[in-house]
Amino acid sequence: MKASYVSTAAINFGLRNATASMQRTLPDLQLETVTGRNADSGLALGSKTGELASLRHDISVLQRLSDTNDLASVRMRTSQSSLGQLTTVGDNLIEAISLVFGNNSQKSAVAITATSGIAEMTASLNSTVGGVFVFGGENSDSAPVSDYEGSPAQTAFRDAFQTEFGFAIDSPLAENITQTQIQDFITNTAEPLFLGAGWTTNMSSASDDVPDTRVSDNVTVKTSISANEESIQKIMFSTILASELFSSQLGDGALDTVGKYVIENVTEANGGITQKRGSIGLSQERVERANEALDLQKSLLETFVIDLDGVDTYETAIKVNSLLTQIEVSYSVTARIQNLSLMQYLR
Amino acid sequence: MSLSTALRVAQNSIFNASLQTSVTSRNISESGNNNYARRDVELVSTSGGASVFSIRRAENQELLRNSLAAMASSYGQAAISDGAARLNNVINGTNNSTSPATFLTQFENAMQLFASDPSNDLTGEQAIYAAKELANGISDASVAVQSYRARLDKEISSGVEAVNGLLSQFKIANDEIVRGTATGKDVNDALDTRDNILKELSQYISISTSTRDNNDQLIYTTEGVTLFETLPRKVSFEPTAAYAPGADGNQIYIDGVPLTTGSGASTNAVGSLSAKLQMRDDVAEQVQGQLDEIARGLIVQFAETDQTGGGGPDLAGLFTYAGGPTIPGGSTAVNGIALTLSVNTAFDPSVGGSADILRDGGANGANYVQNTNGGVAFSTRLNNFIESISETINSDPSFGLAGTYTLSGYAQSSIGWLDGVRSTATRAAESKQALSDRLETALSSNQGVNIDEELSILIELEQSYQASARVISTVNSMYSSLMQAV
Repeated sequence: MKASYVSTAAINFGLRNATASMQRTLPDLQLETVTGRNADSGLALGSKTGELASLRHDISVLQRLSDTNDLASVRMRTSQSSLGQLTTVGDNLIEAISLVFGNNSQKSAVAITATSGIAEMTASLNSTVGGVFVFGGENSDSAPVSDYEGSPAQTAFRDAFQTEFGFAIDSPLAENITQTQIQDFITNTAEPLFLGAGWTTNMSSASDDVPDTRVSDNVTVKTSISANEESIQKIMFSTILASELFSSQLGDGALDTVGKYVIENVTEANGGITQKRGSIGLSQERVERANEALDLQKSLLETFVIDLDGVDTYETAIKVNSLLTQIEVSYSVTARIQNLSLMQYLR
Repeated sequence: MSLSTALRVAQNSIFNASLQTSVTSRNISESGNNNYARRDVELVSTSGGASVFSIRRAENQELLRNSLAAMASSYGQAAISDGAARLNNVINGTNNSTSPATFLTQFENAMQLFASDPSNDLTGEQAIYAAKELANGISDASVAVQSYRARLDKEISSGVEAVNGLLSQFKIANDEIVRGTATGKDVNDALDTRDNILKELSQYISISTSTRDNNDQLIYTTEGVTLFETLPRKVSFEPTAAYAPGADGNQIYIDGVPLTTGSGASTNAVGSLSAKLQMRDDVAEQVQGQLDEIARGLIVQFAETDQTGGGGPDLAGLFTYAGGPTIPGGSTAVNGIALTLSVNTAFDPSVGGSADILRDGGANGANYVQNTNGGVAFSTRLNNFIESISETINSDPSFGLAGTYTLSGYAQSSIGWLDGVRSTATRAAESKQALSDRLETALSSNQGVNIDEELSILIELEQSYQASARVISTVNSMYSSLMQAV
């Protein structure tokens, strides 16, 4: 056998194989040019695919966290504005009482302010975000505070008044109630109805515990406070007191005692509420910081993904071009070699 | 010398030319056949002119042997890379879209949404559906691994049948060669057939051959087990109809000796049978083990604890299995746990359960309720569950993934493991295939027919024929001159 011998089948096989292998690479390269990443990441990265899967997982989780953080932010903003309304109602009440202090001929103005204040506060405390009562604590599915007007709480208060003094709250006999008597009524009869255990019995269906919201890995914040907070109990009770007693026939002295009590308590409650707003504000800031960190982390991870799985589209484009050229060359060479046979010359 | 001798020589030459022409035309007609070795007419000089001694077959045993070996390892490696690609496809799907890791991410996201809005029934149900998808994904993958093994088993079984068939064909060809060689007949066609059968055998099993008197060939496996000696030896395999996790399939026995299973992603398995045994028992079982570990991790991380301090055992919560509610403890894998992984019916709203149990606890009785106040916005438990996905688990190191992993880390590494096998195997398959192709081309180039060569021989023959014919006519005219003179 001659050393340079080559069979016709081998020539054809070589041509066919070269063309086929080039054609096989073409679709993947085309895909890579368009998408900018490996056509088959698993094949290209091998065991590093686990890392890629981990990065994709982290990106997805961070995305979801920043989505749920948006919800938390909305809840916190709602809590802030509702609590703000509460203090405004308190301030208005103090102002109204101060105006009529010592001269109770205009007391109906206080009664009206207080009554509408109750409604406003009830609405604020019952504010919802996406069907969730923000001040409900863990009992977020029911309104924490029901309307006072016509409620069992109102009945309880008026019954207590009747029992204490022997006549109804709207009776003209109320004029005779002394400062000591009314002070005693407020401290020993009315307060237990609305503060402490009485609050949850008569007024609120919220729970004391406020759920934690997870804002980033291992970080939770409270997006709101419970309607059972002492300050909220106090401001609500004081407003109810003002609404009930300033519309009764109490004498000037007794009313001044009530006014003093209301102003003191509302001022204290406003301070407490402002403090709570401050702590929610801190949470808001934490969520904002968490969001910033999440965004940074996410974009960093995305760069990692590109580093790991990305391909240089410029390079692949050049590869595609040269491959196309090669395939064309291969076609024309095939055609020429097929023609290259003694058969063409033996006539 | 006489004129009649000259005539006889010329006649002989014409006879040779016609025989050579017939061989050449046979060569030309077989030029496209890779398994045909070119024939050559060998002439010897005798007192009566050249005469045909034999028809020689162009063969290169060395190249054939190399080509067979390369082909066997190429087929073995291709079986691994195809197998890994198929496994990857049934478990992880295209771009890992149906991988346990992807489902776990979706579940984690659904849990985060639920935790941010625990009183919302919809987010709760969404979390349960994501959990069901995760559990179904893992158990489906587990079923797919088992049916993949059963399919491989069938392929092995038909491969063994093919080997037995080839060996009996080999006997026919070999017998013809031995008989023909002894009686001096032309056995070239049978030799072609025999080489061709060797090539086909190499796809299944790695073989080596040796030749005895009268061109009688023996086949051994490369490990030295006799496959053929005068008679074919029995290659036997008992197929297994259905596969269970952790249960090895049957061995292939050649002449009573078990065929060695390959190992490694760039496998040392030669021939597809040994590689398929490797895929069936080694690779597929490791993948199954990894699925089992993910399933066990889910059951353990989402278990319920006794909240009363009464010391009751942890019991299966959201995720359970056939052996539930007892949870598998320690760091030992539980064979086949992934196969029965499911979402506890107590949690599943579509069968009368409630997603609230995920938030509150208590699938295993009142002692396991964590949300004792019953508030619907209770998020502590959900937050803890989410964190537990990124806590380390006690994983069994025996499935190719040794080390400390979190639940999601383990699932991701499982993808990496299989893709590592696939990538290494595919690369190795490409290079082994390239070597095999190269040797095959070299063999075909060496033994095959070149049409140009045959055509040029044809021209030579034509001229020799013409010359001989001229000799005859010259002798003829000399004779006739002589006759006229007499």
